[in-house]
Amino acid sequence: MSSFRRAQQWATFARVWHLYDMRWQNPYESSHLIGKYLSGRAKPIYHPLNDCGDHVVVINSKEVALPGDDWYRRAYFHHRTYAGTKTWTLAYELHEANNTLIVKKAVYYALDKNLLRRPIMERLHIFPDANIPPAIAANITNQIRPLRPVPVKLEEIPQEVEKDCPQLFDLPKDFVLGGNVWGKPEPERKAQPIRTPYKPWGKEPR
Amino acid sequence: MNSRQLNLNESETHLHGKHGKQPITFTLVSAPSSYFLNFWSVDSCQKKMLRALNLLRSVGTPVNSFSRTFGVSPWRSLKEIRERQDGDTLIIEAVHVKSPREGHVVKSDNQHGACSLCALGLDVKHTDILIIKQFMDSEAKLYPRKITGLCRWQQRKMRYVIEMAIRAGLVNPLVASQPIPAYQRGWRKFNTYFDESEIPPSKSEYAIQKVKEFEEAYQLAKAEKDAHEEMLKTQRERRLSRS
Repeated sequence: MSSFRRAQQWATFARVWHLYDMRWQNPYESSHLIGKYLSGRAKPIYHPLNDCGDHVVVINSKEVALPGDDWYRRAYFHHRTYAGTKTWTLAYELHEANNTLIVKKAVYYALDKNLLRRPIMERLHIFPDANIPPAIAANITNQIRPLRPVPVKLEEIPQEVEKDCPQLFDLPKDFVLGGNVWGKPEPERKAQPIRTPYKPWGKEPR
Repeated sequence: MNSRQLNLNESETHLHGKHGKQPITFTLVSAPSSYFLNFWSVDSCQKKMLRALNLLRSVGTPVNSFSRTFGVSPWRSLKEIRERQDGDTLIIEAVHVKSPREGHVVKSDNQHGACSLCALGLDVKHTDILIIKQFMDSEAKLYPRKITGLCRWQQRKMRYVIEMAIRAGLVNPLVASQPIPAYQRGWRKFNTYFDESEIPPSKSEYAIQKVKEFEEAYQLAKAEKDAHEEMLKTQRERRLSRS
């Protein structure tokens, strides 16, 4: 066996450590991606009975993003097997209590439902922020590309960038900077009922 | 009133007690000459000022609070309203200023009179805040269509997109410079994103008809394409059967 083939043999059966940045990512979309690496589906030697998965280190799990009103629509069910101990915890309540649990549950449900699921879950390392213990950080050799781009807030954009941005239209000539667009002074304007295009169904908590 | 000064001496005595010892006079520095001809008569203007002063007296607010929204002349060019204290005279003046967007406006070849977004073919997302910001004021309110120059569809879309950006926390509608502390936001302290394809279709008759027309045209084109493909398929089969 040549030295190259030997190294290839080692690399085939080695466990790679991947890094995944969870900032502004949907946990339920990215759980399938993480599960692919965890169970070893990305490898040519994959077999469902073959324990050939990799390690995945998930960072910034407290900054996950959910679509729309999912933070207070999605409920996590738990039953302690005693009478009257059913609980439905909303997603934001669960995230307040433990900021790694949503990611953990999402990956757990995305994996194949067999006896290898719990050993595979042991290879998932979740951290709420970017502080990783050095023993784990030393193993990481690959980063998984995040699924969606991280948005930038308006406050974080520097003034120069905001000024030099190409403008789509120029303000009309009869425009007063800092003036009232609607042409009537404040006390005379009639109070309008608050209407939002995205009025959620039902009641918002708090 | 021939000179461009409005001295409201009547109201001085009333204002003495509440707002300090200095008598307050209003001076209009740069009112255009068309002001007298065009829009409001002088009497109505004076009435308006007196009413404002009466209101001030009753509420007891400082004078500076209403000078922002104080308009007595039609707007003729891009202006900035400034106020300064010159001795015992409060001067409110409208200064002609250069547009901050001058030199940065994108030129698009819209010969058919398309709006700026349609002409460029931009699909605006709620995360493109540098684009969204151009269409709203400091309170994150969308400018009217007269100012933005958008078509109805794009204006409607911008309305939704701004709402999404506010709800995602990318734009702060209250105070543009001050971030909201996380503990005040309740469950909103966690990140949220939105899908632009979930914007509900417009229910106006015009939009419904346009969507209908589009669907009909799409069905026609699809039928044409299917017929063409079927013809090609039969030709291929014939060729194969010959050989």
